[in-house]
Amino acid sequence: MASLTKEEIREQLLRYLDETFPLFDQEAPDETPMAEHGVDSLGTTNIVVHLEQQYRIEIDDSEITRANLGSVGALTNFLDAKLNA
Amino acid sequence: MFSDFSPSEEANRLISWIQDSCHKTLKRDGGVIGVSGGIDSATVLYLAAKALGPERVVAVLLPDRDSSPDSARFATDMAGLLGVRTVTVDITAGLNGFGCYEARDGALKQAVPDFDPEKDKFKIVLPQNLLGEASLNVFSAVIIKADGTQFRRRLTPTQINEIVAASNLKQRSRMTVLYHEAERRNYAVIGTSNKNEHDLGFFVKYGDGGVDMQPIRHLFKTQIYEIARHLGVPQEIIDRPPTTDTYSADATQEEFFYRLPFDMLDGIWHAWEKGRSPEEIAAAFDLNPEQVNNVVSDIRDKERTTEYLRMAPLVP
Repeated sequence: MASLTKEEIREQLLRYLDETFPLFDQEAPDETPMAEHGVDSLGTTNIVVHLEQQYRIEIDDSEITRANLGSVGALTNFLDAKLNA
Repeated sequence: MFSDFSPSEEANRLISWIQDSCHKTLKRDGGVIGVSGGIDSATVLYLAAKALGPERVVAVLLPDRDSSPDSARFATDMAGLLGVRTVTVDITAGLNGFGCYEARDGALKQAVPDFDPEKDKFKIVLPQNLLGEASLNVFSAVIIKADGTQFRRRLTPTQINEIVAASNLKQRSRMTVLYHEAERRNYAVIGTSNKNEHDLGFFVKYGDGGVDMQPIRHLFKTQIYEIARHLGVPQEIIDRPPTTDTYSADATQEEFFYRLPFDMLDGIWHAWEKGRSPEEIAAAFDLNPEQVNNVVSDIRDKERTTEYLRMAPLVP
């Protein structure tokens, strides 16, 4: 996969989250907790499966943390680090 | 932990409340309780027997093919001590008719193709390191092979939905049988959900949540232990680890849902509800404030994401 800039990653994530979660608010700050976007444990699982399939990466259980997946900002940083490390 | 809580006063208050609720409000002649041999149903059974008299209480055992035989033994012994009648209805055939096991095992086989429901056991778990990294809740299946080897596989949303929907047939079947046993006697169905289960969404809507009254719904699990000791619930029931009694392998409620021992979870939750700061709570539990924040975030996430379970049917 061609390398993506951080901004491109963020845009792709916003598009996926908006299409997947009916309560997702694109206008909310990037630090807004995912739970406030209506993302529950199933939603978190959905995000993990999507990232693994879409970006062909592996996410270990130990990486499924609030620091990595808890907000749009965290998710962008996490994916950027995974793809562009 | 609960300095303002008196188990004896609370037990007496609940006994009066059950009496009034059953006879005056619901206008029923007695109560039916689904008993599992666990601490919650034991405590409610003791309270109900004191409130209504043992002759007006029926303890209903509702095992299925995955239930531990210990559950039936504990429940039967306890009912015997109280002089309460027991009725046992095995719901396995009904669940087979609904396609419960087929649907559940089919979803599991998608995740773990060599899963053999005849020989292997399984349970569903959450990550257990709530005090360490602030891990998020994703469900995994733990498969226990006949030779004792175990492995863990993360489930997809579709697989989880299928497994949960099929497993919830158990609680909803139990609710149906409880109402049958209650209505034929003009009795009420008395629920056994506690605050942890109710507020965090660890119950099945119209399953174990489908009852006429919920006498311990406001109590933390650790408060129920205190009331159980006060009432003289047998020590072996108090000492049993709370389990889900839903999957073929024994899964404690801690590994399936709560992710912390109850004394710590309840203590932090209670202090947070009282408005204590993370720093104060951390000092009391020998933790750091970040760990307390992890626990509080988990509580808030569960409350928020399970809100619909506690809603009555919506009307326009």
